Amino acid sequence: MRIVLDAAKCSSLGMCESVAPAFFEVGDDGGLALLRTEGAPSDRALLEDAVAACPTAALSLED
Amino acid sequence: MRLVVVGASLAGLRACEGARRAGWTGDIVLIGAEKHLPYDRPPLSKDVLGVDGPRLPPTHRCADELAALGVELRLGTAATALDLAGQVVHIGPDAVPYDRLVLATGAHARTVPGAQTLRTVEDAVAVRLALDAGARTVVVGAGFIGAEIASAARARGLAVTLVEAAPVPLLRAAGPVVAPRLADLHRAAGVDLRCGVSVDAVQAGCVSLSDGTVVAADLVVAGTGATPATGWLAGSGLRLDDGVVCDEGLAAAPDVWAAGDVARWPSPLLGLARIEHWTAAAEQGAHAGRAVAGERAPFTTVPYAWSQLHGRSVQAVGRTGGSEVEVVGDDARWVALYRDDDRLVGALSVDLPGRIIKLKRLIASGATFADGLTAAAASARPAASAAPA
Repeated sequence: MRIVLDAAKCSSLGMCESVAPAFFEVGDDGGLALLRTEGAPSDRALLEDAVAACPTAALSLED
Repeated sequence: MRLVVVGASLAGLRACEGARRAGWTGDIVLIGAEKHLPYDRPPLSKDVLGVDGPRLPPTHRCADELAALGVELRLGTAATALDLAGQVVHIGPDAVPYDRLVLATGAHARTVPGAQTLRTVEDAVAVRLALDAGARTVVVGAGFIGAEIASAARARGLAVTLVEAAPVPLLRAAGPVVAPRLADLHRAAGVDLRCGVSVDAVQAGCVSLSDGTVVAADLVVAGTGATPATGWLAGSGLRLDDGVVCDEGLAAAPDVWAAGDVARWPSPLLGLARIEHWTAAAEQGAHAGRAVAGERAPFTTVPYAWSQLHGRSVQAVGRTGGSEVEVVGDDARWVALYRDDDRLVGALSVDLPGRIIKLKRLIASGATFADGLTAAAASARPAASAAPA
């Protein structure tokens, strides 16, 4: 599955990194980096948690 | 089998979703005092007050999404009583029986007679309209909400007086070392910060303060905190003490859980604690939902709050009220680390968003203060590697 970031909604609060640091990292410039853009099926629960943790609904998953 | 969730904001919604995700196949009834679909509250004191901000906060889910989740909505109807033995929630004359119950009624804004509160979408619209009209603004209480209102007014160039009863704002939230640094942000932005005074009276066009001064005001907003919405639970038999007192798994009684602003539970990091933050509401709601479906576990979290003060990003994690602090950074961008003996227990940053989550993870893992200092000093990922927008 693919991780989709809506950069216009992202406010770099980093809850995604808090849940899944192998996939997301906030920089001190306030930019969110997707360290990986594809998740394996075994990553689904973790990535769903990361999507749900986003306070601005900036993340989604696409199969 | 029927799950009843009382409180249709973030925690209540996440309880519904958490229960379904954990396999709950029974009915779900979601009761909300407000007439609106669950909406996002942090923007009420941030984006919604901005000149170019949206007029209304986003809703978390649309009606179709809630229907697809199998949630029956009872909005605009506050629960009025709980019969614990009979397993019934009362909404006035209506009785709603339950097999499992989640309490997520949130908190009510503390009021100051004559002042506007800021808790609901209606409140935010009222404040926004007054700011749009150029109101000379007095904010009572310089906590995060009050500070955000002052920020919104200053961003429009309006005269703002921020009245704080304590000698320094955010003393309990940020501690005696860090709180004055945050107060400096207000002064630098042109806020007239009055500490150690309280409001005697809010009158037409002005506010009288306890030091005898009178401040002209077209808009007076109270940012004096919130109290848990437990009035309807009086006499229910639940233990109420600054919230619904829960066990470590958020259970308040057999088959009853609490989540969000209303829940007070034994936190390994904080002791018996009630957290009024977005992330805690989301996490506790989901946790209660899973518990409803049979997944029982202790609830743990490292509290995380964020704010915008005069264009600066302020972020706080863990326990940040102490005085054992080390500050890393320069005058503009810094992070304060809070210690308890040799352990890292909290961090608060200004305009260093790349550090705070790494520190949050360290706090969660029980890291030493030395580890925290190393992580705080390390330069975060260079900007060049950021994902393109």
